[in-house]
Amino acid sequence: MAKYITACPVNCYSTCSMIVEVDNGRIVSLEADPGNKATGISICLKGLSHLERVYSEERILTPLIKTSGQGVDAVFNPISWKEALELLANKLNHCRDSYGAKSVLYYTASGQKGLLNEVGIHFFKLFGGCTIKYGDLCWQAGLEATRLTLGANKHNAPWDLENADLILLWGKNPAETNVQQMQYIYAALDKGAQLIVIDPRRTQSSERADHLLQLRPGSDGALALGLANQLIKTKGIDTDFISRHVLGFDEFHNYVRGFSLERTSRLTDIAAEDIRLLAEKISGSQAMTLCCGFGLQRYTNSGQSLRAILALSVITGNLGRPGASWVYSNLQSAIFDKTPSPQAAYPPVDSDKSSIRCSLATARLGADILKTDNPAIKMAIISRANPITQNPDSSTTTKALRGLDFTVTIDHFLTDTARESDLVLPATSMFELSDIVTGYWHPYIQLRQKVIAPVREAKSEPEIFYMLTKKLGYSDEDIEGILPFPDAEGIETFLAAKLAPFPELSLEKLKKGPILCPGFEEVAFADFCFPTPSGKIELFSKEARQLWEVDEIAKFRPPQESTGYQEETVETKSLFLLTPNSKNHIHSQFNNLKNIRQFSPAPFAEIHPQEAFERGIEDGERVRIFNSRGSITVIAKLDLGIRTGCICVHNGWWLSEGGGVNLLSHGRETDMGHGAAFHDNLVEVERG
Amino acid sequence: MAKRFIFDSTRCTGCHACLVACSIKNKLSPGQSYRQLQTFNDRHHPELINIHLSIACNHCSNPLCLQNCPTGAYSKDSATGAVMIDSSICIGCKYCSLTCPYDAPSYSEELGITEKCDFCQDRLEAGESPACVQLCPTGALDIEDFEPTPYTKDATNSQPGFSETTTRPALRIESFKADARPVTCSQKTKNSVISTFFGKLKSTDLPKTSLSSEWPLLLFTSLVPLQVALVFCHLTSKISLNLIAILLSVVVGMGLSAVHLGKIQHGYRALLNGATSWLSREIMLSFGFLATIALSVLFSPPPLPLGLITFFSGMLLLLAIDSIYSAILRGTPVIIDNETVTLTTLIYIMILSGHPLVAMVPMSLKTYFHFHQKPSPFIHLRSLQQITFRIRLLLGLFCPLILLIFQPPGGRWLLFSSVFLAEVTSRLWFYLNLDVPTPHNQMSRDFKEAEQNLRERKGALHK
Repeated sequence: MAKYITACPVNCYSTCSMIVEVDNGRIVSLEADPGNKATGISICLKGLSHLERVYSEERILTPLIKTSGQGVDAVFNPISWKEALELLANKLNHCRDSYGAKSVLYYTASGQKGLLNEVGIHFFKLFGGCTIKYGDLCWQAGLEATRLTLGANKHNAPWDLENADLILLWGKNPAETNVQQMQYIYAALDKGAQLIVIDPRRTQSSERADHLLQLRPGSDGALALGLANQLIKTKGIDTDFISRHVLGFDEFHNYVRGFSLERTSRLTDIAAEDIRLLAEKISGSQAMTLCCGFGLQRYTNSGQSLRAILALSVITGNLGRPGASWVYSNLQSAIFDKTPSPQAAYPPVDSDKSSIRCSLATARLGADILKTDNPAIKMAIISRANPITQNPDSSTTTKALRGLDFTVTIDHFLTDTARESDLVLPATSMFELSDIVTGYWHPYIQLRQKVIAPVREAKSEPEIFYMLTKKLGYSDEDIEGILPFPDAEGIETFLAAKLAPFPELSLEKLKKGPILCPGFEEVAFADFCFPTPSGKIELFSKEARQLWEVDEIAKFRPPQESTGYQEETVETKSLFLLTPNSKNHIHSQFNNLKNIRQFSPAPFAEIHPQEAFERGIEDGERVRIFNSRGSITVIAKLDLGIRTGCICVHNGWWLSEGGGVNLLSHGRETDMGHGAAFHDNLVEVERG
Repeated sequence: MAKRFIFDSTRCTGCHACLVACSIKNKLSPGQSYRQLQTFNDRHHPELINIHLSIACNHCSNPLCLQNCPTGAYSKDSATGAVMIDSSICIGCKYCSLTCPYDAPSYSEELGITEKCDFCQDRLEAGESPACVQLCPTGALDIEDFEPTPYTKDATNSQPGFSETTTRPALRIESFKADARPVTCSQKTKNSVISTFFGKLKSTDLPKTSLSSEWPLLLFTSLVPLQVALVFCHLTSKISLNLIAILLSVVVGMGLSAVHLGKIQHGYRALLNGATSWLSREIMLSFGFLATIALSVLFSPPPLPLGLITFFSGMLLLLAIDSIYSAILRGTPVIIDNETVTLTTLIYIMILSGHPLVAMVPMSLKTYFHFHQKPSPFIHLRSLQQITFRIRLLLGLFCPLILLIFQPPGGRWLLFSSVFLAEVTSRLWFYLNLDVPTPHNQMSRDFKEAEQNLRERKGALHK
């Protein structure tokens, strides 16, 4: 038996450090590594399920070529790596020669984090170019809102939450999406802190809260502005902090005057008294930590909404102190990024000069593929991604992929996207390739160690791209210094070079456990230095207008696709479709495993009994959820915890399982940051 | 030092990591676990808190599984207090899982034996926590040393889904106080919508036994009273019949009762724990009954002492059967219950020996029990149960009364047939309701109670 320390690389706040036990080349157990203070308590259900994931009978373990059919009817046959690479090399050559290298789309997402993910782009630079996407599905609007306001995305250490006397969970459900955060929430509550949750749903995270404000989806900005107005009116703000560190308070104040309790109540559908009470609690707090989730920033108005919410921490001086923090994203450990997020995902200004064409909006992937020409997209290589399921507008994404001459997907399972591909290549798991993993909640640098040989014929991306370069006829000299040699030594050399600028870090040290990132700040902004253009916290941001053509002040506008904000002339029966994450998935990953399936056997829709009864829907019956873009039919689960006017289906269900929520979403961007505004999503519901 | 689990429902988020941790540690198939998680108020009644119960074996100080296992496969570790099962001895009779109030022993259809949580004995020995404790991401599970003390009920600390029992579970629960307020939600729902919703909500109760697996036992326990009564009447010359036929029916009955075992070939091991297990005793007494009938056949007509021994061994067997079910139901002793087979036998004897009016006394008593004994709170009366309930009344009381009043020719046998069919129906009803409390059903009952209490309180306020 040997034990190794490694790190979970999926797209999750927690990014846990784990101890893997290996016996005779086979993983036998996974445990939490106490060396990571934030996640040492334990790993989660999904982390534990990595074990089944590696050895699942459903895992793809040889290259597969499609012989017939599409989608659920697709039939694949195994082929050898030699055949697969020859086919792929021929297709790549053909595209480059006939249409130009930019006719090849290289699409990646967040399936498995690591520094080695960059080898794909190096390959394509060598190859002569390709087309890639800009923007991101996840968190861009909030990152940009934070950057515009504070200058950087960082927050207090996870464990500092214990020091708060008021915790505001705004659209965040850590019990399901960041479970280790709960230990600190409970610790704070045990010390007498108050917890307020703002969420259309009564979630597991709100069970021990004092109040749950179930606001109208997309009205977060209005609620924040109303609270700000009330705070200013009742002198519940920190004038000293404002005068020293804040730019644009007067303009902000002028604007929020319009948000009386009554108007805010109308916009948010929260009783004026509840808003007043929350403002009172905020002003009474000595140390408020505001934890803001990602779901609420996937609306067309959400960058501005997040600026407004963040303003609450700003005007009350709840920054730069223990227990007082804006907890959105902690990029302290992102020390290897040449460009910090969110700008890393923006299209470069001089894209035309580069061989890499960065021209497809992630939020409109399908539509942008279809409209691209000169050259048009002819083939796609997709890795760590399942765009058909996860990107907005599944139908258009499917149509776009079906229109290509050739699609290759590198993955572990036959996902919806893999099923639309001509060739599927078996990817290595987190245990079969070493890499360096950073997080966006805790501040550790972690080594994801290779602890077993790849199962059967699975291959890592560095190896696939290396073999492909050889197949395309490049010599070792051509490749030298561009792609790592895909053996243990080559990979370690690549990673060691990444660590070289940081004397605190080395592979040897990281093998022993996670290390706090160089320059780690336990309390973020404790120096009150804000790297904005003015050097102050900007409630008035010129950049906001220059970059995104939005108001300098975080003005509220209802989401483009929404209901209830105005007196509607025609009575609408539309519901907001909420598509949050659950404890059972990371996006479209994990739910296909038996260990998870037992808790989550089939897609279902949470709906308030009142909405259900009005439509003649009974608990356990099938409901059809539809709009002009598509429809899905799932089981109704009546739940008094969800806000009326909403229906909720977790995202991540595969289309082949009948729960593809993005069949209903529209491809459009958030107001800033090139995020995806797929939560602007109204649906009708009827008995299925 | 003995150990016990600590479960803190104020920290449990219902994340299910403990179940998967258990599954991996014990190399179970994905989806199987020795731990289970139940949720109170998963539909979010606005005036009730939502809480979970994660529960495995509680390694009770007075483990009923150990006591009742007929093979002696169970043992209690003297150091840690862990209740262990030796799967090489288990014959898969499932009796332990019926007697455990916490649904801890889990029967594997695949292996034909019962398995359970062993407190991660190996990890404890290595100074580590059990896997479920180690892998709880919120700190809701823990273990501690403790001195087992006599059972006391702590009414202020009641955890939905968990029923205190005399088994003295080695489990400490930290839970919300009974008056814990749920989160105040800004959304207000009309009471009428709430009550309509919960009124319509389908029950999620899961019966622990089913007729499809228990039918051999239904037949066996229906046959024994008949056999004992016939033997008695034959020996007292009230009726005359062929003892060899009785002998064969006893063999058939015993054979049938072995069908439900996971390991029939090792069935003999069921004789190994006569010291504490009524099941073991019942099987021994079955053989005794069989042997005495065999002797009675050999020495036909049997001498008086042999006749007496045969009858009394039959009566002891009946008492043993009743005691088995008493142990499962942990409430009323079955002997003063509608379902007592001992009383059934006496009724048969009275009718067959020509004293039908005397038989009306125990028959009325059983009918009283039948009415008195409400259907198990864990189960809704399903249609089949309603039908059996009515047939039982018709055949067991109304038909006999009519027959006694009108005295038709051949009345004794008609009466007997009617009562016999009533008793078999009653037994069927019993098996359909044989639903021991499990955390799942306890949780569902606790929720129903809480919801109804709220409704009544509201109703009272309204008035």
